[in-house]
Parts: sequence; structure tokens; C-alpha cells
Amino acid sequence: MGIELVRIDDRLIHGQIVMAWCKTMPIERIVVIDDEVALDFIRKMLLETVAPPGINVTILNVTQGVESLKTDIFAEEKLLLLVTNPTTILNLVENGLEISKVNIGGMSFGQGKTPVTKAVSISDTDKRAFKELHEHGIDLQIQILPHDTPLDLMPEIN
Amino acid sequence: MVGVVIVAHGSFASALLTTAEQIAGKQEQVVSLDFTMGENTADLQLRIREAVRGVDTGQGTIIIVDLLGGSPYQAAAIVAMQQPGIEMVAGVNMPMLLEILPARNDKLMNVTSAALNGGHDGIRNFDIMK
Repeated sequence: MGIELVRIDDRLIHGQIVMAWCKTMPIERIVVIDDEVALDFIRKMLLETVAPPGINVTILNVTQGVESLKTDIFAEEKLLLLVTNPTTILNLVENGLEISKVNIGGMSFGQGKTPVTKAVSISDTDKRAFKELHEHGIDLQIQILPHDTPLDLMPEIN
Repeated sequence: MVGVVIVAHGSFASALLTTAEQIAGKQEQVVSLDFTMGENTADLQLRIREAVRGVDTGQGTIIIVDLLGGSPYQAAAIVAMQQPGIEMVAGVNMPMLLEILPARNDKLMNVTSAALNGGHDGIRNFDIMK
């Protein structure tokens, strides 16, 4: 299985993904893993229609995500794994999925969130999940666009 | 008169409106919304709903967004799906907006056609031989 990029981006498939990441990486399928979105008919339909031409989209809940990624259903394809928050990634990792690096793209500001950079704000739950991911030895980097210089997350939130 | 809401990334929407007003004159029932980095899409949806309420006088509203598939597009699509009397067109450019503005006394459906035609017709390859 070829996971080319694991990205946290609460806007999921949007301009930056379509116009930048999918043009600079050889992505063949976007796999969105999110329990809430998997149940939201309207968002699901929208995400399926906005993907770049030629790129398939699969939207799964966490349980389905773990199963599909472990059973190599997408073994032949180059994947972009998209989630809205670090807790989902922690779930995947704790269920045995091997992830070595996470790209943090967009985590929007809202109530109970602390800004880390202009595009990334995190809640206490996010912070805990990031710390655990870090303890798993996973590389956590803020990088909005492919040409941006990656910024190591951990020193920013400690 | 049909209301207009322009939603786009960065400051494109507000700049586009200001620029169009230089040519078409000051406009009523037109609102621009800038979507900036770090904003929540749920908040954007709220702002779009409020903007529609502000410009809609019962004749309907056309929402024009910059990029097919972008966050403004998705937020506007959700609003348009939940509420009747809203049309949404992606790929806004100057020619599109300049066709919409004077067509707004017509039916919403015809304003949408004007938007599509204006947007397409304004893009041409310059060829001096033709």
C-alpha cells in the first residue's frame, strides 16, 4: 500500500488539496477517514464531487478505515489519507496502522482552541493526541502547501 | 432585484466587488465575503446564510464563488441545498460579475444564465488575424 501523504485538514478536500497537493504528488485516491463525515450525506456527496478529475475518493469511518488500510484493498494505488483531527490518526495507529509522518495542514480556530500558527489552532484533546503520536515516534509537521517549509509541531505546543 | 453574494479565498471577493463597482457603479444588495486562512468552514456557512438574508428581498439570491471544489464552494453549496431561492455558480471572474449586476431585475434563473454566459464569453484567446 502506498500512503503518499497523511494530512490533518479539517476542510478535507478543498482548494489547497485539489490545486496544490494533488498536482505535486502522484495521488490516485483520496481516503477520508472521519466518523462524523461518514454519516453526513450532504458533506459526503460534496466531497465526492469536488475531487480533482482522475482521482478517486473514498469516505470511511474509523473502523472501516482501519480495515480497508490493513487489508490492502488500495494496495495498487497511491493514497492521500485525509482526517480532520489528530485523535483519528491516534485511533488508526492504536489499531495497528503504520504511520511515520503526519502533515498538519489546516485546523481552524474555534471555541476552546489555541492558535499555534495562522492556519493551525488546537484544542486540549488535539494536544493530548499529538503528544501521544509524538511518543509513538511519529514525525509531526505543519505544512500548509507543498512549497512551504515544514515546521516541527512539538516545539510549538510544549 | 436578485441579491448577490460573492465568496472567495483571500481578499478576492472584496477586491472583485470594489473593482466591479468602478465600472458598474455602486451596487445595492451585493455582499462580498473573504475567506481567510484559519477560518472555520462552519463559521463561513453562517456568514453566507447571514449575507443571503441581508441581500435577498424575495427575488432570490445568486452566490458566486471563486473555485470549484474549494471551501467557499462547499460552504455555499450546503447553504444552497438547505434553502430554496439560491443559485450558485463557481469560477467567478470580472466579466461574469459585470453581466450579473445589470441583469438583476430579471428572474433568478435568467441571472444565472447571464452569469454563465458572461463568465464564458469573457474568456478569449487574442488573435489579431480574426
